Amino acid sequence: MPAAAATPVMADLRLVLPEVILALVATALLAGGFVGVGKNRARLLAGMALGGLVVAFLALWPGYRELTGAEGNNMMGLFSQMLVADRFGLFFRATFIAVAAMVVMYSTRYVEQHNLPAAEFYSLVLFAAVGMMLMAGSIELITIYIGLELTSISSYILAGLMRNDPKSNEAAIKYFLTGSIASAVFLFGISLLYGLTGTTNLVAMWMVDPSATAVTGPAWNVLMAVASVFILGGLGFKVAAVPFHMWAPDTYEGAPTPVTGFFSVGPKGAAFAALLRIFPLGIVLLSTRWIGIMTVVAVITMTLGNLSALLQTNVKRMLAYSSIAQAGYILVGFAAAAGGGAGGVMFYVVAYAFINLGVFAVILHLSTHGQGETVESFNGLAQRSPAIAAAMVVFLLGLIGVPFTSGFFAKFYIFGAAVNAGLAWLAVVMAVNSAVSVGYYYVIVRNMYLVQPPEGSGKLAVTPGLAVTITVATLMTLALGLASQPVIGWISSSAGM
Amino acid sequence: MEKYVDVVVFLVVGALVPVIGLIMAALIRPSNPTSLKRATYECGEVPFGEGMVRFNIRYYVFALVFVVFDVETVFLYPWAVQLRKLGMFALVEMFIFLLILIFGLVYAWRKRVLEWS
Repeated sequence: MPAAAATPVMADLRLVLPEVILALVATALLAGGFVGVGKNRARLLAGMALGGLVVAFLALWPGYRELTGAEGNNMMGLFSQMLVADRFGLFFRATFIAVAAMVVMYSTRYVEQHNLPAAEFYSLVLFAAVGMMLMAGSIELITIYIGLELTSISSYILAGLMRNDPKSNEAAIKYFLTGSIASAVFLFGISLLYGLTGTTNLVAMWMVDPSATAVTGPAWNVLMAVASVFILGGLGFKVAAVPFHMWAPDTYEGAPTPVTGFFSVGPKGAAFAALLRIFPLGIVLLSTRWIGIMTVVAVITMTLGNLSALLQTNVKRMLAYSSIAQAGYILVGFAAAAGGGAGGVMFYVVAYAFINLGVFAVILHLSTHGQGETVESFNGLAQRSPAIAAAMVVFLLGLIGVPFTSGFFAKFYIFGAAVNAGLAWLAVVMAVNSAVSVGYYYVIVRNMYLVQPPEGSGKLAVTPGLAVTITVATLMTLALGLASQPVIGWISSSAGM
Repeated sequence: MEKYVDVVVFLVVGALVPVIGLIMAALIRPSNPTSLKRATYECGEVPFGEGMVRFNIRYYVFALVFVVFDVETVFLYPWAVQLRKLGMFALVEMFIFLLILIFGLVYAWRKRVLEWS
């Protein structure tokens, strides 16, 4: 190894440099809230956050080299196995940095318009991103829990940043109370796993022989199922899987819009990464009871999400239910773990991240002009902002899963995994649900193209940050739909597909 | 399973101790209630208003800042005991930890959470 000369800690530090950089920048941003920096404070802080994210992304390079070089390692334990550097983690960490960067870019105008505390806003986005990266970059349940808490606590505050808006307060309180309980439940699940296997390290759990532990036989099976339910409950809350979804519509509606967009892909993606680590890539040899549970949860999550979304007129609420439905599709990948569902989940998370951030960027575009709360605010958008309306169509097609978008392949891989795993009926349920979802996504398309814009409304100016975000999201949606091979290659080398 | 018998014994004894104490005291003590003895605060402070009032949220922030430094001590103590063994690396690491905590205090200070009015 080239790093043999350096001290072990320094060598490990090199591979978590992105996290270290982001944590430092996030701390410095907080100081930016009270150090005199002149008039353009908010914009300056946004630039600083974005700069930090770019540097952090580049700092992934040593890890990339280490994993792909001639003597490429599959998995390197760092800091006494508290963190790992592997292809799976690198995939998600890169995704989360990109997500945070897009969130920072599309938020700038909103933060200025609504007078949000810029220092805290950008700092918390970065801290949440660090938490998400820790969750994806660990095979140690304790580290995953700490990452989850860092993400969650940052999220609670982000939801309530509009301190004078009662809805924002309601969003934060609901998210905080239910989230804290979910964290406790998750922790209890970890303690059960520890009690059963004697370790909190997921790789060490592979070596555990179920017949040689303190608890064996039927008791082992029951307790394993209980532990699985608790862990799924704790993380299921984060991904808003039914029946742990009740907080989502209220929190999504009340939180500042850019934060809602962040919630729908960031903490959610991290929770999926953790679920992948724990279930299909973790305890699958010890217990398979969770597969049945995941199947049931997936079916009710997508069905309830889609049916409820049909009834919504508030865009953020509709997208909350849409996001619940999408989580249901992703959970099918877990139920179909035996058919290579894990890879499908990875692809789905990254595809969905870019699509949904694009959708929220379009809503923020409307919100800079005082609209974007109801589906009617999309009326005649094709005439007011033709390019953005076209991009929105791409995103909505992606959410439905139409060919030539990333959403199609995301559904395709999970679909294929379900069929491979002998769960063809589940694939059919998923297809029917996708068809139902057309109903509410189409309302937006119809309003944009077939409904006349309100009297006296001209073209809508677009801010540079939003233009860049929407362009990147559109390009990624199309690129992952037309040329997904490099991404698929990376995924199959990290999770198998 | 035998190990858990200890736990059960511990729970039972733990629950019985205060109960026995209260019963014994009730049997032995003379009953002589005076108005002074029945006062809420024996120190002489006269209570006013209801017990069920809303507390100022600022108490919570103070408690939060206090907890930060309380937890810091929890980490500092074992660190100080084992410093010789841990060496230079632990020294630097602890100072980074302290710097982050101190920054938190400075942040709270500058955000005026330590001012009452």
